[in-house]
Amino acid sequence: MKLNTLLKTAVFAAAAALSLPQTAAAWTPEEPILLRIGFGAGGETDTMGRVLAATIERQTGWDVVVENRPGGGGVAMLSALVAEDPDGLVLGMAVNIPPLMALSQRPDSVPFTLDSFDYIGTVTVAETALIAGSEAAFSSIGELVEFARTEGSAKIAWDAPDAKAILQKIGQKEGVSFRMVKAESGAEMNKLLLGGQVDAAFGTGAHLPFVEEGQMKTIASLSDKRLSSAPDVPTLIESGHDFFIAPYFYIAAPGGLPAEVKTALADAMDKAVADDAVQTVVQNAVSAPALNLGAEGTRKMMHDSLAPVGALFDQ
Amino acid sequence: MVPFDVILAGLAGTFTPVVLLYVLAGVVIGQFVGAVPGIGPVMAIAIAIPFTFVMDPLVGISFLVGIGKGGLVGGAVPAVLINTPGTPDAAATAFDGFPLARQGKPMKAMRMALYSSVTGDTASDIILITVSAPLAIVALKLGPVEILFLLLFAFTVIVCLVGGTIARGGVALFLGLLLATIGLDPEYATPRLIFGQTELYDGVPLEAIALGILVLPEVLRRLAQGSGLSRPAIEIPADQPAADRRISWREYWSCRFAMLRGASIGTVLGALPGIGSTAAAFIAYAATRASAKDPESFGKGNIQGIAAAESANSAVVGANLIPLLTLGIPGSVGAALLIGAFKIHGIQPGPLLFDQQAELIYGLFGAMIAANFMNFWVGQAGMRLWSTVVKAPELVIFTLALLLCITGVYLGAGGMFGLYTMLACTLLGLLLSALGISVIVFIIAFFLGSRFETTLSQSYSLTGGSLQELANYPVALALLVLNLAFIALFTRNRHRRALPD
Repeated sequence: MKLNTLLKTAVFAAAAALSLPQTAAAWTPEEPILLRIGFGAGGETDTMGRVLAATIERQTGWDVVVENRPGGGGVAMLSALVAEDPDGLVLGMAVNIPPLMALSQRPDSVPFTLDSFDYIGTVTVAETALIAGSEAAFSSIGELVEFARTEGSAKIAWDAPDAKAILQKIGQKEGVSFRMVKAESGAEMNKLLLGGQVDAAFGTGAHLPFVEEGQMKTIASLSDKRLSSAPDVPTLIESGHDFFIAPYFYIAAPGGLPAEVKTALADAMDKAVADDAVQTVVQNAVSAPALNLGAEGTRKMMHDSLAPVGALFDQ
Repeated sequence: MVPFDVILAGLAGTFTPVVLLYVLAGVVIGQFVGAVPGIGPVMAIAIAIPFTFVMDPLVGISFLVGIGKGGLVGGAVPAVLINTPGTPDAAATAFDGFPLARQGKPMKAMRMALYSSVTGDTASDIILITVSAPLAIVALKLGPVEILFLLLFAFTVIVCLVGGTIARGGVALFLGLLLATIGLDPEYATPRLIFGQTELYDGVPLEAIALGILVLPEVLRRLAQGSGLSRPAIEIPADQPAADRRISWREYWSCRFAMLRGASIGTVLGALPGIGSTAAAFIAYAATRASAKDPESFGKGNIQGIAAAESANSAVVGANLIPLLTLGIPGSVGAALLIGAFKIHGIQPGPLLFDQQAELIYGLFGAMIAANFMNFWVGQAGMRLWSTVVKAPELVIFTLALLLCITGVYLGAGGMFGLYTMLACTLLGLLLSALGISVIVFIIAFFLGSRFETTLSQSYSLTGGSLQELANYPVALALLVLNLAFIALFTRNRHRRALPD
């Protein structure tokens, strides 16, 4: 009897001791985790998401299955994600601008709010540059405005609606006409710029070889800080135009995750983003370093970005 | 200019067992997924890309290029054998390939498709390797306004030559373009015609349309006609003379103009982003039929038709790499995926590529040529396999095709949503066929629709909406004149031809 009690106590103590260091990550998924990517296979988000998933598998031993759910820049994926059970087994990867735009522009058309999700972390924030051909007569946003004034208009290729909105705001404020030409990708913006069909465009990485080659130049940073690729070029904010864009790639789960699940997922994500494989693939895919804001940081970033993104599209 | 020793070093890089093995694996996978309806080479490339992250860049990219090249050869197989193109590119191949197979000569039809595919592919690879830089500069000068008028010209050609009558072709064109407007509009991201379905934000998935329109109606039709008899999908006479199985040098040589025309059209359209191999195949087919002495023999098993379509769609693939390697601009979905593959290795396709990565590029060129040879040999071997498969009872073949389509669309087009879309497209396809409206014109209009809308909105922005500013675009105006001349000539000829009746 006594022995039995002793044994029981010992077993219990051993179990407690073994489990102690793990209390922070007590949860482990019993089924594969599904990571839904809000973009098609083979793109930048897909590539980063798949390497992230593989890294989490390697580091934790969990199964992470990747699935593509393209549509509306991730809005379609998020719309379906809110309906899933908050058990940590279904996650989504998206870019913040499209859902923020949808929530500020047409909140009734999407079945979620920012609080419908629990945020796990971010993978990176892309940098956006305003670029022109190296022969262009202007080298700053101020000179571009003057160029548009003397020529009657300036043609600018865009592929992200927030970048377009910023230039339109600047054009309105300065009283000049920017002809905004929609492109389907960074590569197409390069084509339009190199072919001489437009005067300026935006660059999110695909333009860098052309800058290095001397065929293009960077004339402004649209990020809230200077670009890692062109540290001498001022931001729009420094030039007196109080606008910036910060496209964060982030991971979210349906809202209401149990605390230990959320902690376990956030820890796994933090370790994976710090891994060399993820760092390399992020740098290669978006020409910017990997960056994880953490669970709370990501939630705060989403809430803080809603008003500025909305302001861009106010008429 | 790249030093000669670097070119040699690059080519030497190709001829290592690892690279050759992966090219071979790519070609085999490509031919297989191309030949089996459902998955398709583009999907296979997308699935394979993350795996190439751990490979050496040359190995990984050669592997993906191998899949793409194999897919084009494979796509022709079911087009010829059972009238269901494995990839949309091969839809034009079915026009003459299937009638020839039905005459009991499936080997002959598959051989012609293989030979002309490899010929067109090799021709465009040689153009890519030798003169890609100047061609890329020409492509660069063709801006949105010029592309808009080029697309209009392509629409005219396809409506007139493939659409039956101009009115019916026009209806098909309009319906295809209408379907392409479903989803977010490119300019303001306003949802259009989605009826609350957020899955439709990016439009109707291509896979669902391609399978639903081009493959399933034929599968259902054949299943319905099967009437429970276990007869093979294709009857091949037991004592078939060799001439009905082979393509003689004389027959091959008689198709030289068709292949030259196909390869030229494919190369030019491939170098211009966004037009794609399906349209190239149909334009080449239509051009060859229009210039033939015996146009009425087309559609009844004329090898010239197979040669034109296959050489054109294969030539697009090599030419797609011209803007990709020199400017970093993808010419197709497959090419856009390849850019992703380059980028995960930290290589940005563009002007510096030939300077910084010359060895890799010449290694890739070597791998492309090697892939063409392998395509030829694997194709020869595969043909025997497929001609055996197709001897299986029709019911088995078409039931399997149905299952594969369902699996493929589930994988590629977002789960059950993709499946429902495919079934809806099948009904639409059957309805259009019943009304005598060309599904081919419809699907090409759909494929080109978003490009058309984008170039239209780009042209509108560039010119500030003023028609006078079009005067600044002489090439576009020349294309417009050519377009009108084509319509005039076509209606007059049709009138004249109609007179004896």
